[in-house]
Amino acid sequence: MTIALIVVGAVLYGVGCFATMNIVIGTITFRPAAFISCAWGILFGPWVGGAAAAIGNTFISDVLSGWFGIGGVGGFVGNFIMGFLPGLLVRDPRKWLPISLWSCIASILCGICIGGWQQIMNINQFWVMCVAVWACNIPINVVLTPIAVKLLLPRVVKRNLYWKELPGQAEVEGDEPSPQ
Amino acid sequence: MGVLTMMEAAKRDSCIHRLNPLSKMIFCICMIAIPIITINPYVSLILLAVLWILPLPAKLQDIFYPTMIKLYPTMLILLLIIWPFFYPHGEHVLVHFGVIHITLEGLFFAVAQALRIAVAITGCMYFVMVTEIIDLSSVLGRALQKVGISYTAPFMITTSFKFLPEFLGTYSTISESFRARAFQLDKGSLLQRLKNFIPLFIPLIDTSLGKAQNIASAMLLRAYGSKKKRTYYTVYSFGIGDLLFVLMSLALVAFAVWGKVKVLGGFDLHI
Repeated sequence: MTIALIVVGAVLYGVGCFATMNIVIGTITFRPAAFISCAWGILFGPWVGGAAAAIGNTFISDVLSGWFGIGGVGGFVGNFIMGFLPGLLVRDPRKWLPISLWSCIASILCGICIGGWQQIMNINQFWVMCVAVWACNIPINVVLTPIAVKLLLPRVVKRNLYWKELPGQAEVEGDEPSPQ
Repeated sequence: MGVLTMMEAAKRDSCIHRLNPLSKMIFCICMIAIPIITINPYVSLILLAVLWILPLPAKLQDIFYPTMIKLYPTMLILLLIIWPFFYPHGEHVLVHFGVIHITLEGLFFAVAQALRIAVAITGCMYFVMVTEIIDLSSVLGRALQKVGISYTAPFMITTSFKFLPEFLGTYSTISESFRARAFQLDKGSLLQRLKNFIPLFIPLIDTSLGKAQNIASAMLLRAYGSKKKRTYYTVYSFGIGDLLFVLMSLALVAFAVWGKVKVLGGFDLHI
């Protein structure tokens, strides 16, 4: 199931990002679908969220738009963190504050990864890229991720796909209550 | 989704398309390595000229050239604008106002940066056009399996690409059904349009979860993961054409190294 969720998440994220590829800010784009990575991590676990975001960004969105290449490494790592971190650190998906907070921090780290890599590769200036990524991702993730999680959580739980309730997670999570 | 149509149209029968995906991947790696090796604009210009000839044997001239002409401005304009502000050296001052210090050398450096990135973009776009990603994942999976690495990662990439048209179809169906109920997705300001897309995303994700369960069931039924090694239907050979293509890629890298060492054209700008 993990692989299937990664595949579906990657396609959704890749297509969602690619759909708004025409809103370009230098070598990055404004992407309203950025919330998918954080939401996927929170709903299906950090590894699923991280892998889906990394594959979706680099192998689908970048390939479709022709941006696949030198800058992709920073995007791969940054997007992985954006999906991984909220999944790892949001304990209760019903509370919007930790979701917004960790999504915001994950977006900041994503910007640092992309900006840092572009600076290392001498493609662009660190702060220019960082600020551009933050401007694109932070508002979207802070606002849309809690909304998406709130709307999707009942459906995910109903399908028995919520990662903290999957078999084998009970021992890891201890006696954490069900989100429903 | 014009790009998908373009990519589909780019999959033709030519001597380049028939090459082993691994040799095309080596070419792509070389195209990524060259801009890391040097920013010399004379090297970049010569390499760009070579890259613009490569669509001819691939019979891609009607797709490749218009795509690149559209792609270059969006990718390179910011580099051309930003870099002169951050280039700290140069004797020929053009603008000096407060912290803003723009020199002629800075402008030249920006052009060199843009050309360097153009090489990477062009090479990677060519690679994407002449390579079926599913073939590449398959051959990569096979190669990784030989050195004891699981085929799961290439499998995920392959499956993602296989499901891409299906997801686009679902997205299209959902958006059409919204429009049929007089819901105007493209109406209003940017913020309003973003809000319009929220009710569209929820059924899309919900439908996708159903698809994920179907994929998982199909994998389970076919005993995915029960054996450490999997078999492959297609066998990709490595022929003389592949050898020549790899040698050409390595020759381009060697040229870039030579251009850097020899300071081709006297270009010696750096941060």
